[in-house]
Amino acid sequence: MSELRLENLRKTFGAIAAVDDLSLRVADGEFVVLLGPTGAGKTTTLRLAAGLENPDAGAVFIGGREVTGLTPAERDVAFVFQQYSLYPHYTVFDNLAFPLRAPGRKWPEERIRSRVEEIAAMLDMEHKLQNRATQLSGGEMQRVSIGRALVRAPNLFLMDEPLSSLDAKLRESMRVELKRIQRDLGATILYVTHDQLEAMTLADRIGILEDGKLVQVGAPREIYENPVSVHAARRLGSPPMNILPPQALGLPDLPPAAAQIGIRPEDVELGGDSGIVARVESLEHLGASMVAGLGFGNERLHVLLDDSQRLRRGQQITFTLNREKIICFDSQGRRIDAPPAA
Amino acid sequence: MTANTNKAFSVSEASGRSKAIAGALVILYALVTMIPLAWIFLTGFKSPPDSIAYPPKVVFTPSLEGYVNLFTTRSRQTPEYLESLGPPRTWYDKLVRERNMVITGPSRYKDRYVNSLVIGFGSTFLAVFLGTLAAYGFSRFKVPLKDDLLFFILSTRMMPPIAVAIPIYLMYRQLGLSDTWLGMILLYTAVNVSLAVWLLKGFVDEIPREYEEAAVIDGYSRFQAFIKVVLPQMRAGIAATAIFCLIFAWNEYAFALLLTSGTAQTAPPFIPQIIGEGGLDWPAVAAGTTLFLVPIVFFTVLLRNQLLRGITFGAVRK
Repeated sequence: MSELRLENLRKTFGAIAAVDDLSLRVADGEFVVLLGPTGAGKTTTLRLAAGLENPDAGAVFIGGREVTGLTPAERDVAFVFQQYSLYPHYTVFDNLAFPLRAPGRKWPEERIRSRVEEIAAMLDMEHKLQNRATQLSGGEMQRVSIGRALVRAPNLFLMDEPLSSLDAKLRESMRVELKRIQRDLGATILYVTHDQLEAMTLADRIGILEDGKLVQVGAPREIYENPVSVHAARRLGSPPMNILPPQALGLPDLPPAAAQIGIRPEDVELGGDSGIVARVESLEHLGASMVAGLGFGNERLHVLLDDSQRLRRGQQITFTLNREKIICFDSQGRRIDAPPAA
Repeated sequence: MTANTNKAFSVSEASGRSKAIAGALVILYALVTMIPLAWIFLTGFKSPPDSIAYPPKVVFTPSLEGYVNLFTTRSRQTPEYLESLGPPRTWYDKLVRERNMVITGPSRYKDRYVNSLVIGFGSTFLAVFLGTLAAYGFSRFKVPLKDDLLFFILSTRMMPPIAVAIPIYLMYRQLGLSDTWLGMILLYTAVNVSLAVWLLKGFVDEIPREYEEAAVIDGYSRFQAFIKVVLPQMRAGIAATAIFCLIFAWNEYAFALLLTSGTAQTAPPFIPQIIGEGGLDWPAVAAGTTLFLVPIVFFTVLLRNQLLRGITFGAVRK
C-alpha cells in the first residue's frame, strides 16, 4: 500500500470548475472519505486520482512518485464503481480473475486460480465462483466488485459510492465488512459518498467538499464538533445542526459579526422557567431516541431527546440552548472563532 | 374462467378472451404471409404441366423435375437418338428422357448462388464491421459535428437506393467495378452501413462506460477493453444488425439486375429468367427460390435468441 497525495488539483468542464485547487494527503493505510452533495466534485476527484481524467492543473503523487499524466494501469490503483462494475458475460471467477489476466501482468493460470480462491474465501463467495455475474444478488455483486479491486493488491483503492445502490440493511453489513477488510489489509482508501453515516463510521478522516473545494479535512468527531462553516456543520449529524438567526433567540454577548448561530439538536434542553417558549410541531420516534420539531416565532428547531420524554404535538414548552455548544457563523456562513462570552 | 373475470386489472397477465383474439390474429396473419411461400415450395415439386394447370392443382404427384431442370441444361432429341443411347444411367437422366431430352451440362444456378453467398455475407460482414467501429466512435468519443454527421449518415437512407442507379452504373463502368464481386460488395456495404451505424450506436450507448474504465484501470488497453468487454455485450445487437444487412443484400434485385450480367450475377436476377420449353420453367423457378431462402432461414434460426433481444433494442435488457 502507498500514500496518495493530491496537490492543487484543478479540473474544469466548460465554465464549471468541478475540482478547484484541491489538495489532500491520504496516508499509507488510511481511510479517507470525501463527503459532499451531488456535483461537489467528489467523483471527479477520484477520477483524477485514478487517471481517468487529466487535471488542468496540479499534480497527483502515489507512493511519493508523481503519476500525473500516466495511464490508470501505470498507477496501479483499484477502482470500485457505484454500479455496473461486473461483466455480465463472465462468471464470478472470470470477473475476479479479469484484472490478473491483464496483458501486462502475465500471471500463470494456476497462480490466478489460487489468488481468486483466496479472495473469494475472504468474501465468503467460494460457492458462487461458477455463477454468472447476472445471477447474483445486489450485495453479492458488490462484494465481487470489491473483491475484484482486492485481487491484485494495488497501491491504493478508490471507491465511488460503492454501497449506494444497496438497500439499507445490506449497506450496513457491507459497511462493517469493508471496514474490517481495510483494517486487515492495512489498505489505503479514498472513498466518496454523500451518506454522512458511511462517512462517520468508515473514515479515519473526512474531507468535506463544496463546489469543487475541500472546505475541511479532519477526523469525524473533530468536524462534527468544530465545523468551519455552516455547510460543513450541516453535512454531519442527523438531524442536522440547527442554524438560527441570533436575534430570534435573544442571546446576549455574541460576537457582533455573528449572522447565524448553529446548535446541535442534542445540545438543546427542554423545560426550565427561563427558556424560550415554543410549540411542539412534530415528533419522530427513532426507537431509543426521538426528534422533536419545535416552532417559535418564524423559526423551527430540531431537538434530539431520549424516548422517555412525554410530549404531545401542539404542546407549549420551553427550551434553552447549551451556551457552550453554540457555534457562530458570519453572513457568508464561515465560522467565527471567538466563542460566546460566558 | 369465472375466477378470472373478477380479477383486478393486471398489466402482466392478459385475459383469456384477449389472448384468444390475439392468437387468432397472429395465426391469420401467419397464414396470409405463409401461403405464398408454401405455394412456391409446392410448385418446386410439380411437373411443368401441373404448375400451370387451371384450376390450380393442390393435390399432385410430386416430381423432382423442377430441381433437375434448375441445375441442368438440356436439349431435345429425336426418339431414335434417345433409343441409341441405351438405358439411362441415373434417376435424373431417366426423368429428363421422359420429356425426350438429354442433359447437356450443368446450369449456371450454382455459380449464381455462390455469387449471392459471397456478395451477401461479404457485404454484411463489412457493413457490420465498419458499423461497429463507427458506432463505438460516435458513442464514446467527442467527434466534431457529431450530430450532423450522424444525420448525414442517416440521410443516405432517405431516398430509395435505386434513385442513384444511373450515376452508379456510369461510375462502375468507368472504374471497372461492373459485374464484379468487389463492386457489388462495396455497393451493398455502402447502403447497409448507415443502418448498421445507427442500430449499433444504440447498443453501444447502452453499455456503461464504467465497464471499459474498470478494464483500463485493471491494466487493459482501450482496444483490449473494447474486445473483451464491449464486444461481447454487443452480441445481440450485432446479430440483429447482421440479419437486417444480410436480408437486404441477399434479396436486392434492382442493382443486381443493372450491374451484373455474367460473372458476378447474383441469384435474384437469374432465377426469374430460367427458361423451359414454351416459356418460363415455373417448377425450376420455384425450386430456385426455395433453395435461395435456405441460408436466410438458417441464419435467422441460428441467431434467433440474439435476434429477439436485439430487436427490442435493448429495451428490456438489464
